[in-house]
Amino acid sequence: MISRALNEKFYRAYMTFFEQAERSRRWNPFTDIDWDGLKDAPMDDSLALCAETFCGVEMYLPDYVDGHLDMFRDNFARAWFAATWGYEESKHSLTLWRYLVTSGHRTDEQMHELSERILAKQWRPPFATGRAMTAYGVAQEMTTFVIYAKQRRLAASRGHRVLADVYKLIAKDEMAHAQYYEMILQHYLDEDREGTLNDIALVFYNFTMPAYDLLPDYDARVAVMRAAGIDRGVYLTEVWGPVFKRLKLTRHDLPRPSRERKEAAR
Amino acid sequence: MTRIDVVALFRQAALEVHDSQLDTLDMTTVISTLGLDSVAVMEMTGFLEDTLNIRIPDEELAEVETLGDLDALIQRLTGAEETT
Repeated sequence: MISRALNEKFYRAYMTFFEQAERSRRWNPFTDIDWDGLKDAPMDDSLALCAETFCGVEMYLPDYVDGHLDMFRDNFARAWFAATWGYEESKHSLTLWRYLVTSGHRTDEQMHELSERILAKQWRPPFATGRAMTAYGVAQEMTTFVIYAKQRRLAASRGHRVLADVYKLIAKDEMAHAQYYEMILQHYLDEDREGTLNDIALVFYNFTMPAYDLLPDYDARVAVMRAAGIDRGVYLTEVWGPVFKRLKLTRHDLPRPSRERKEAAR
Repeated sequence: MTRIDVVALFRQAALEVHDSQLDTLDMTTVISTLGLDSVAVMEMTGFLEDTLNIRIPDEELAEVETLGDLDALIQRLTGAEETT
């Protein structure tokens, strides 16, 4: 049971997140992207496949939101965050969908078919508690941010300005989500440092990105996705490095995963 | 200080942490080609740190690509490189 004091901190964290979003981060997929600029853009199958893959991962939205709400149904701030987060994430898949269709890489029919195949499978949360899922949220949002930032640079370097702009907008949301989860994790650390470090370690040593393995044609996507891959160096320095720094932790503060704990996490 | 056999230790770490038997390892082996995911490699790094009682800074660990890189880093952190 979460204490009233902790819940009040969660509420303030959510209001900080929400106010910043309303005041300065909201974007409109219909008016903030120069869709007309796609008329002159060259075709690029590998960039399109990556965009389609990210779109597919974002399409598991019903499961992500359901997982959130199932865990936090009785917690005002966290349930409201789930709703806001779901709205923002819904724009990501819609925007990538629109990019793929407007650029001519896919048809609406193909995208509908993809969505049906995706929604036929279900994603389930990888960890059982709200605190561990918060740590997972930090890692997942930071990883997604890093991937979109890489894709943005890649798209820009190949002359795909519109796609680069799409990734820029989405990446900004992902960073905001990561920073919200960090705030929550900091509050958990303040209340129960040892237990929270255990949960961070559990996630750090067992992390995988959500839903990639559920996607249709997963194997065919892997080779193309390598360019956006998160290797050990990136995972350490770009995903967890900034998180640890802001939480005033290092990898060495985390308990080493025991064999028993690893088995329990699987 | 005696030079540490990093290849043997890495092989032991793979077995202890990941139940992986890595037979053909040498200094030129690129770690990312061993079929271990990055999280497993970090667990193995933890094993090495505990065994040798050292701490490998994340920024330096991020730069390691081959077992030779890891060897050089570990010899330096344990002070073994001075006698070799």
